[in-house]
Amino acid sequence: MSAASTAVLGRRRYGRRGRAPSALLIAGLAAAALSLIPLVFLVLEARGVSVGEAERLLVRPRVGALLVNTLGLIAVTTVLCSAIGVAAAWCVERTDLPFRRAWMVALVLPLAIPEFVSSFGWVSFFPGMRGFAGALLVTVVAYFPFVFLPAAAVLRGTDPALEETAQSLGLNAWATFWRVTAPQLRLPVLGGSLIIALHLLAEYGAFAQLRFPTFATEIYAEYQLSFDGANAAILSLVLVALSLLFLLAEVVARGRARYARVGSGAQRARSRVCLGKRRAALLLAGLGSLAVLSLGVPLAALVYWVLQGNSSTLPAASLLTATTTTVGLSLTAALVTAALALPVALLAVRHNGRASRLIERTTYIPRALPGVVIGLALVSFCIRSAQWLYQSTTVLVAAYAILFLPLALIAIRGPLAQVSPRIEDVARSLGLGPLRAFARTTLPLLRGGIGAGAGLVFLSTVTELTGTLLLRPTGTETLATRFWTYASSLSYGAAAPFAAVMVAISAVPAYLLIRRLDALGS
Amino acid sequence: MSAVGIRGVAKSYGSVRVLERVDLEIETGAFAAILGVSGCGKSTLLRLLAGFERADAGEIEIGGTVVDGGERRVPANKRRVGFVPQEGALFPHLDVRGNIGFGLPRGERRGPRVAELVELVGICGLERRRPNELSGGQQQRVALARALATRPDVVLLDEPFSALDPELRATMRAEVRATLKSLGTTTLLVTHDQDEALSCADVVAVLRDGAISQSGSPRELYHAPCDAELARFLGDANILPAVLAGDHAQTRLGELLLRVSCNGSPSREGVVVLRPEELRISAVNGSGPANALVTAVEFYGHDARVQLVCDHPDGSFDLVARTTGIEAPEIGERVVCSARCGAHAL
Repeated sequence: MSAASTAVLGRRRYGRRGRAPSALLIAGLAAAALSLIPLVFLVLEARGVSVGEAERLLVRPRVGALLVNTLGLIAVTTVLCSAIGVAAAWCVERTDLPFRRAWMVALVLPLAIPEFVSSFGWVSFFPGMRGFAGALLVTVVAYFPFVFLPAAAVLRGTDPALEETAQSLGLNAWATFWRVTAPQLRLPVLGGSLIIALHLLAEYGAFAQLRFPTFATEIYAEYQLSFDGANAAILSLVLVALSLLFLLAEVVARGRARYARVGSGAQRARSRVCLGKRRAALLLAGLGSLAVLSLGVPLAALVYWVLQGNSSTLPAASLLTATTTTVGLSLTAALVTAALALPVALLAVRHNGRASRLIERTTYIPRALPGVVIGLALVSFCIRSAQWLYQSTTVLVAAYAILFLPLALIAIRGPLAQVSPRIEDVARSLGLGPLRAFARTTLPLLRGGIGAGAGLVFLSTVTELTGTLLLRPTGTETLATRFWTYASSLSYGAAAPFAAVMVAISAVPAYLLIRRLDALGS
Repeated sequence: MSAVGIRGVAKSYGSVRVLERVDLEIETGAFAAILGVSGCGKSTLLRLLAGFERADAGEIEIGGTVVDGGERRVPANKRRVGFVPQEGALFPHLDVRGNIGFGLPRGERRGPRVAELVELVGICGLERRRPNELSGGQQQRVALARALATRPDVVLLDEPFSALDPELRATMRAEVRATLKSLGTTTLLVTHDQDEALSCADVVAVLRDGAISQSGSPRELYHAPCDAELARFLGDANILPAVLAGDHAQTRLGELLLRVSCNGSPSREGVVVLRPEELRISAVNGSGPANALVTAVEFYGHDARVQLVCDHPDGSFDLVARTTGIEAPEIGERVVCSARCGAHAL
């Protein structure tokens, strides 16, 4: 095999049919069962409401207003994010803009700031920022990287020959963009928009601060107000239906196309558009304002309030305790989630049968369940079936595992699909039993994927707010809940240090994303 | 005693019957090849032998022990069967030494056995390399050494040379055959390449429609195939309708001698097989009137493949002949075409 063909084989996706070992099936079923708990208890809770009452709850002006708020924000935010994301990606990837690498970092970093921290920044500086306009500003500048990142990857990865061919066929630059480049950006824009829509549906903290009622804030408020699961459950069902609708819409819109898999083969350097001084200055000003809005204001607010705070508002001990608690919980969640995801990934990739498909799809259901819904459903689960688990660390970790299982699964699936099952066969023929063969061949090769999955879960857990607020044991305080308590009581100086630690921890995945994009280019 | 016995083995995936009923015995120490078109179930048969899959019916015996049949089943790791898969499937996270020593007990993984194998397959100096730093041929050598490390009774080779370029393929084939022959290891090679099967195996078994349609030495198979389809599968073949009587066949190319006479049976309609190299082409002068027109010549240097249209009162017919390079005719030339030796009757 030549080096070239090795590279081809290395990229090949492996799968095989065959009956799964029962131990693997049992582990996969356990993960699927866990993932189903929220939906099941949501439905059980909602069944406690009579048809008439459900109708009264759903058909009222308040629900209409929530729908208009939620869907309106999703529509405008996704459109603006797509436009900004694609335009920024084009500037960074296709023009001779100065400081491109620095812009790349600045345009990805907003991902490291949790939404409720950036809304905190805005509200603390501009207390009048409320309602739709405020929510729109905060979410657009927080979420445009979800489009920017994949769009930049596609712009960097596509073969320059495509666009050169179009130009040689007589298309001008503008026509080339619309007829050749834009169709390739369809997938990253669609995928990014879906992620943004799901985030907007699930977000509680930011909208609570901005006093912009959406389904998520209303559900939480309803629950806090009455501790009545039924009303919240009915609203949750609407929210879940909306999420499923978006997931479905994305599948339909994507059609048979797959997300662009960008090869890493050597490529000719692409010629960049020469901007000239005036246009470059204009673009620099535009990107500069974007960076100020998305990074500058939230970070400045954090620095300002940390400095404003003094020894009385900054109890170092509680910061340390909260950090330790958060890291401990997040590590546990990461390990548990990775352990649950591994058998599901093995079933999905290696034993592609009906049972495997069902298990894998079930574990993706929580993608449509916002944290507030999973939190409430698990409260209901504890009260109905497992009182002794109520407000225990176990349930909290289970909630994290359910929430973030899809993340871990995606991270492990990809690398697993590239490991040939043949090597395990070879190990068997060399005298190793099935478990040892797996442990000595596939497992070491999956270290990267498992590490990435666990890392993603860890970092997502660090900034998780809603589920934690609903499920944490009394007395357990994470960085997010401490921050939330102080920020809600307007003790900005006390809140800021907790947010600063969260942002510092979240900067890690943002950095890794940039590194990955760099690797793509070189 | 046979090293491998396959008796009435069947295997389906869902509703697709891959192996209908396979029967095959392989002598100890033999180098056997299973030949078949892609998708005929060769690899499935190999996976059954290795123990990665379970047969639906029938019995598999390795080294005198039934390893698959009825309720009995020996798992893959207890079968003492070495396996060299198609793309080598080296463990990408281990270096050459780690790969070769993989199946050995922990204490021996760095020991003399690994060094011995490194020498045996001729990859000295590459011990610390990673699989991605090896050429295709080197990867195959490591895969072979790894399979041999545990001294298996049988080695299974699953199209191990198909990913190599043609020149290297021939060298590797000869090398691997020599190594395995010198160790006396029973070998089963699976391939879709008839040249590969004919040139390196002692015994070739052709797998077709889920069963072994014929097995025998390469010569037997090539010169006495059991039907026309098999004859064509093993190389170019001229299939001529004939009337067979005694040791002669009456064909449009004239009367041909049969290699195996059908004495005793009454004369019957049938076909004969003539390989291209069994035809002689000569210039018109001296050897009689021309009976064929050269329509195409593929010139390879050492030999040439010549396409002819032969005249016949009942209508002309096509033939393929092979000549040495120096005797190759020109396109459009009229030549005399005749059989060089006896034909094989089907």
